[in-house]
Amino acid sequence: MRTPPKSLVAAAVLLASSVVLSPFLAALSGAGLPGRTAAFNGIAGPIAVSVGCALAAALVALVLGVPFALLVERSPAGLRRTSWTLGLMVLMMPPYIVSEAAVVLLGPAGKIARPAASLLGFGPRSTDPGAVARFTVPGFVYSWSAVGVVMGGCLFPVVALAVAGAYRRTDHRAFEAARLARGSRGVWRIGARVLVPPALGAALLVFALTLTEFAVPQLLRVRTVGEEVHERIQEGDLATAAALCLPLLPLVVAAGGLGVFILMRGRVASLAGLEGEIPRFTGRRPGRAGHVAAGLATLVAITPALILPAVSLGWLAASARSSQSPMLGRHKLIRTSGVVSSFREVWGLARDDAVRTVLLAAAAATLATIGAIALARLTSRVGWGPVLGVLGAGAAVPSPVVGLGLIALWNRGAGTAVYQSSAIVLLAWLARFFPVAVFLAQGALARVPRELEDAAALAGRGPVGRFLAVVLPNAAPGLVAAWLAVYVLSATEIGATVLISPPGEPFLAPSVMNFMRRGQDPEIVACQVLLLAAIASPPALLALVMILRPRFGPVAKGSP
Amino acid sequence: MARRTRIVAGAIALALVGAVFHAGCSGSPGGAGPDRRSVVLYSVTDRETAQELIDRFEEETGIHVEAKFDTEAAKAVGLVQAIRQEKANPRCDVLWGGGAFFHAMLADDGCLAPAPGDLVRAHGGAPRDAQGRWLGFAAAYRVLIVNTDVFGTEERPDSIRDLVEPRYKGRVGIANPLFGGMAAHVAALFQALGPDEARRWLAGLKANDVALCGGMADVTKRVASGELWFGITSSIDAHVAVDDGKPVAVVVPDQGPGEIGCMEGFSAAALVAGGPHPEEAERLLRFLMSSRTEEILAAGPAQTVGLLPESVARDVRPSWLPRGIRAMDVDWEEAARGYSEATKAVKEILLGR
Repeated sequence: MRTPPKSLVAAAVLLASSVVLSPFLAALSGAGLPGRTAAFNGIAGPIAVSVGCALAAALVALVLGVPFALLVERSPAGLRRTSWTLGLMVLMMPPYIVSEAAVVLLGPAGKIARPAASLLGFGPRSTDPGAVARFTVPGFVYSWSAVGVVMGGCLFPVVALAVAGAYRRTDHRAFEAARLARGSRGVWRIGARVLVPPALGAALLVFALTLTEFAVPQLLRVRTVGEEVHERIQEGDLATAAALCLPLLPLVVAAGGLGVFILMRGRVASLAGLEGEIPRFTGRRPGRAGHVAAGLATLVAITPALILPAVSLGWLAASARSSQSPMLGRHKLIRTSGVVSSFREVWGLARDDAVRTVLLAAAAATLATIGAIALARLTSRVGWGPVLGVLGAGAAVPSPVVGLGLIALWNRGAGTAVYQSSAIVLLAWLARFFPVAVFLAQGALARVPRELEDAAALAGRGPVGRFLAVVLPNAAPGLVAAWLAVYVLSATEIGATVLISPPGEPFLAPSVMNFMRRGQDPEIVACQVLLLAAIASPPALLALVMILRPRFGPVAKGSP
Repeated sequence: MARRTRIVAGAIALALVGAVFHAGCSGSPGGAGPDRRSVVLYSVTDRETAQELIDRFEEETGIHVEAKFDTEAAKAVGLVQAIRQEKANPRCDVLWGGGAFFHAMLADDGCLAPAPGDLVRAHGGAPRDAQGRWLGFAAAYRVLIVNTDVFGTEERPDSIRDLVEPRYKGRVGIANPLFGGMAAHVAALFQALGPDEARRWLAGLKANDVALCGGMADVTKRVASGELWFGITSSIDAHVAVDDGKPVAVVVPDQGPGEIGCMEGFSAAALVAGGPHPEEAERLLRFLMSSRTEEILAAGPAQTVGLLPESVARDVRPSWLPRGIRAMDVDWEEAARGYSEATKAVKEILLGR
């Protein structure tokens, strides 16, 4: 196969870097850093807290994601499909809804925490209603570790997808050989070599995504570097706000580079995996206990970010009381119409927002995935894969800095046409989430055996033919994961979207965030469910296609 | 396999082209067609509050309103900062909501244009910028929201000074004073109480382990759940909780003799300097600065009190808010200038930085 010219690869990397980093650089311009060193005073504490939250999130994602992937992958087809469906639904739950649910259920006056504490004998001794009302549970909800649990709980599918992908693409003869040679110890050792790299790589991705999260720490009253950045922006000092991100860049670039390096070394696939006859690992098969363990792993994994929010939303819906006040206008229609009618009213109000959000998020995800595939293939051909870790710097830039940087960049001259269209939102989402697509695509492509492409080239297939016939089918699960991740992250993005969305064209996530402030009534539940349904619709369609695919004709595995 | 892959690739390409076409073709302000006039409104006021008035304005004038809304979480860094950033090439015509504090900041930055003289004169005694660069109307108040399961009618706190009472340690909350409305409130307190007393109040909050919530609505929710016993919130959010039947009551604080009064957080509207549709913008501003608008706002989810001369004469207010509320005396231009000092004190004293 021909190696692409290095100038072409360098140009592609430069283009990708400009898409990701240009808003940050535009915001940074004029910072005059030497004169602004005072801006960094006292930043060490918030940075340490941010890093703590991100580490906790990565750890939680590992603890939930690895057992989930391994146990579920070895379980029967029905259980496996159900578990993965539930697991991927977690990815669609916006973290700010999860953190709100954590407070409602597990906070000091939580609907679960308070009765549980009373049941355990920690409640008030008196039956005086005042004393009962004053009883609260000293909980952990308002802490950096809780931020880690929420973010790790929301992002664990990223780790699970990476581990499951590696497991599926692994030649199971390796396990069998290890078992024959060294028994179960050998299986553990080979398992570690196969599965630890993708797990760690994905955990580093979770780390990077949590580092500059603002909404969840704000709700859980944890002061992170994101708060410092927002504060500088409020003062009108965008340049210093951007400069405050600089200490995070080396952290994220190092994490991103390491993650890419680890993933690139995780190529343990073989031709056997593509021939349709994957030799089954004949080690101890999971019996009924294994199935129960898989079910339990699923239950534990989806509890923080799916079951708790569902319980919380259900509680709010059940305990909601329709408004009694003599208010006027459309707001009254929603607030006084009860749960079921609220859906209709909210749909009437936010239908355009939902359609717009789904279309643009799908476009962003598709563009990001296609770009990431091209970039990953080009750089891997010339051995520049780890260079793409630089794109990880984009993950260290908080969303408002991206939004305001884009305004500075595009609201002038010919760029105004872009700024005044929804294309600016696409650019913001790409700037924020293209590194995620690159990271996941690199991992997916690295697991396709090079020998197959070589064979196709020898058989006379051109680059496009090789890609469509060999690479795409075999890297498809990882690439679909990349598409899903960018789609969900884009559809739930708020910080940059609210700043740059064109007037008259609101997006769903900011609208829902606005409704959430209104308390606990049918409209809130209706809005949140609407958001989730809108986000879930394309992945649900995708899942439906996957399920129905066998009915349209048998697919011979390994056939050209 | 290859055929199916081609079909999938074709479908993706088609969807992508459609979405990008949609993105490219939409959203340009004034894009409603060459014959249709439009105006761009940045509304910090909540969508469910503003939409009613936008619909009426469109119906009456035929001018299409391209509205952009903020979220509570982004109030401080949202539309106000977008206007700052767009200063060289403004996209917005009218800014509505966000209070006088941020309007005064924008006016100082040269982002706002003076309102027409006759409109300023007709504004009467309602709060406004001396040069007419922003006009205040539709007051909401910063009130205490109190959990009624915890406090009986007689024992309810009635002053913001109660937040520093040691017996309430760990049970009181305010919105994070670095951002949004609470930042404005603290800057105003530095004026009303004087810097020394305001600093003592902040030290008291710190000693009392005050909860710094994600916003006024968050304070309201935490008090309603019983997690906090009372806190400072806006009358808008407080009304939502009362209306929902939550165990809360509203106390208008500091109304006794010699006390500072409660903060009046009125809405403000302004013309953006160099906005692309000046004529339409002026019509929208005139529409907003009317007693009828204040009447609609008072009857809608905002539940605000009218401040314009005609509204005062007709006593436009929601029935649940008492008459004769004494408001804190604040010079908002001065408060905006004192923002740095107030924020520095918040960081040093309350956040221990």
